[in-house]
Amino acid sequence: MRFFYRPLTFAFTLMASLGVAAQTDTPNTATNTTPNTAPSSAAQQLYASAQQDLLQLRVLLKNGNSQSSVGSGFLIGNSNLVVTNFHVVSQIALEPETYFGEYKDTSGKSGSIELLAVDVLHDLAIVRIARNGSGFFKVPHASANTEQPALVKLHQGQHLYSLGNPLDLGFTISEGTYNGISTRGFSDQLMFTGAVNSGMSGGPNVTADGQVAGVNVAHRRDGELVSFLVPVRYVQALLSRVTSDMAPPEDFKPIIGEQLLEHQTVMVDKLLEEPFSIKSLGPYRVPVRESDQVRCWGNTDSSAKKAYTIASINCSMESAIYVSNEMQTSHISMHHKYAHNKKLNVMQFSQLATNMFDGQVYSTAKSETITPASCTEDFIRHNNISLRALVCAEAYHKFNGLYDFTLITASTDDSQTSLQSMINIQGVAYDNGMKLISLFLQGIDRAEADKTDEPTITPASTPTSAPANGEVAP
Amino acid sequence: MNQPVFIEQLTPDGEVLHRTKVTHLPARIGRAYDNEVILDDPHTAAHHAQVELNQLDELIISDLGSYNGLALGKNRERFFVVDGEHIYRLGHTHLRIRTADYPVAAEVTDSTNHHWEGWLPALTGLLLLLMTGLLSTWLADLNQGTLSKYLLELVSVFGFAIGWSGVWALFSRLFNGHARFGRHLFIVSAGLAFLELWEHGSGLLAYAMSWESLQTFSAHPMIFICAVVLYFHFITAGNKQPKRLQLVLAAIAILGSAIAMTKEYQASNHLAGELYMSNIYPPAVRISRDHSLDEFMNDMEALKEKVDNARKTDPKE
Repeated sequence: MRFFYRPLTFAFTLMASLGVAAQTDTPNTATNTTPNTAPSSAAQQLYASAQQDLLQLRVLLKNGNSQSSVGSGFLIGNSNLVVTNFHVVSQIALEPETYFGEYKDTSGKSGSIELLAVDVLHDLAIVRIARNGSGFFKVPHASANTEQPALVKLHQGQHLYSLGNPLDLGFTISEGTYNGISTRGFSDQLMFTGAVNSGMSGGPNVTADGQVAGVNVAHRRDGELVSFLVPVRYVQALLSRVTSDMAPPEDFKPIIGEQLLEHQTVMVDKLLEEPFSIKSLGPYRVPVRESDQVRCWGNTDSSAKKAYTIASINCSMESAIYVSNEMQTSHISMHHKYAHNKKLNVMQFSQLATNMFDGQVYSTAKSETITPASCTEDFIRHNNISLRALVCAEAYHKFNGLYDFTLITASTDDSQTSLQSMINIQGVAYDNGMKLISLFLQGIDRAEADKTDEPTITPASTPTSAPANGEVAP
Repeated sequence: MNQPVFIEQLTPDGEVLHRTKVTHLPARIGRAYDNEVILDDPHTAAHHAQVELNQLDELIISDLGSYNGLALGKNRERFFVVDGEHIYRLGHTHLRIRTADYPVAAEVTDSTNHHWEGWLPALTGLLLLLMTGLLSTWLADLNQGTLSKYLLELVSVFGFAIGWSGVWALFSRLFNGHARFGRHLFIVSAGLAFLELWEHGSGLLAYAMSWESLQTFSAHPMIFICAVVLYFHFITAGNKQPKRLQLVLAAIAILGSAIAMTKEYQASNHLAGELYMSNIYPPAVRISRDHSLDEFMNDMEALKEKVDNARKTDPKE
């Protein structure tokens, strides 16, 4: 009796599968019978012509072959050169003994990649593969020392298209608009109002007629579709230094170090183009820097219930340079806190000042990128103010001539007020660090006349909340 | 023989367990009940040894042909001339033999401070706790806390001190017969007060004189204070060898400091517990002189060599 069910179930499965086949067949037959007469969209056309030069780039661990990072890239002209982001291939540049790279194209073919050149400052890299492009993505360029040919001119609101392999899900094209140049960093970035997700890094961004406008690089986590592109002129500049048959450099670390050193000069010069602006915090004067690259935010905590008030000004540079997951550098921030006693005893207020001063700098011996902090501390007096100051310096293990600095100070001239300041400097030469710290210290002062005045708090600006600076590299 | 002889059974530490007065010699020692001194040690013979006078009128202890014999330290002999100082071993039994004219040491002064017992030290201790507890809570009270906050703080300090001295009292009762809870409470309270005093005092001194290391190495004096507290607890609990105890505790304190420093070094490459002196006190406290900005910048310049030397890899020029 039992075996009787067998043919029955078989019949059911057959019927069911036929039914499914019939269902899926319907739309197919529909498209077949009614030819696609509607004009294809610009994005559709673009993707169709661009796809063979579009690549996914992966960095893998030599030991175990497992995937470490994924990004995108595109072949330039008919050459075998691929443009991508530095952050996609940074591990190959920094630890070639541990990592290697691989590409995969839209048809599923794969092969190894060879890193030829990097531009850490603009987050660009050029790799070579054993295949030539079809000539779709063109970036006109001349050799390094001659004038570069003109590039596509963009207009705000113009449609742009980003291509890449977001989240390793498959190749996509996303449409958006060009919205001008962001000058928050030390080099320009194009603002693109369109989706750029992780994995699309290094992919091309093109105009409707296929001209390369930039390279996908980042998006803001706190915004919607606020994405950033590396302008194509930096690609042009990097390409002009590379040839299809050049030998790759043996070690990228000195090259990266040189680029970082060059950049920090630009950064510090730009920061010190004019002297620090001086703000008031109670009776004190503090140095801050407000510019396109550095933003300041102020805050006061002066609820009537509290026995003291604290006002603060925080300034931070909006850009940093990505070197590796463990290391982002070329960043400066300044913080000032001013505490004023209302009801506390002198000893209690000094406890408050101690708590504020404590635990701001710590030294780690575990970091692979920087040395443990070496510090010096002292009581210093200059202008109208005496201060307790601590400065710590850390050197980069892999990059010669680059250091991080932290300076913290606390005023020691008044038992009822405490001004505590901090400057954090990452990735600068030692003399530049000293210059910045010396200028910062000179900017801290006290107005002589109003030693016992009520505090007048004039922070730089008073937003409702601190900025959520969540720019992430996809 | 015209004076009695005392045969003393001792612990391995040298304390008298039992003392037998013998008026007639020879006196026999062993497990049998016809001996003058009866031992309960299975490693001794029924008639193990005897104390007698030899022909030179010397007091001797001699073996009666036992299996385990008679030993002084590592020397095993047929007999020994007795001198009142040495301890002889019979099996697992330690014996000392003294005559009535043995000169004893002079009376020692009372080192246990019997007048400092009971409620007086306990009350003083509680008062110390109250003062230090209130002071530290008040200093840290930056948000003008309520009375309940102070009470809660005091209860936890009192709870700890009472629990701690309770454990020591139990320990004392077991080994010494006297609990001496009041004394233990005073010791722990004084220790806590010293710790608190050191914390604030050293911070103040470090700030006033610009002696940063007083602050950044503050863990080690605290370890020392803890060792001193333990010393007094042990003495109160009945430890009779203060010299040896001091050495042991000093060794433990040094080990503790070394462990603390090693831990710090591994975490931060510095031996100090803190990277910098964080205490800020009112300007009136300052005694040391101020430095100029130039001097500070010179110090900073001098750091460069130190940082460069700390690099793991020497990057190519």
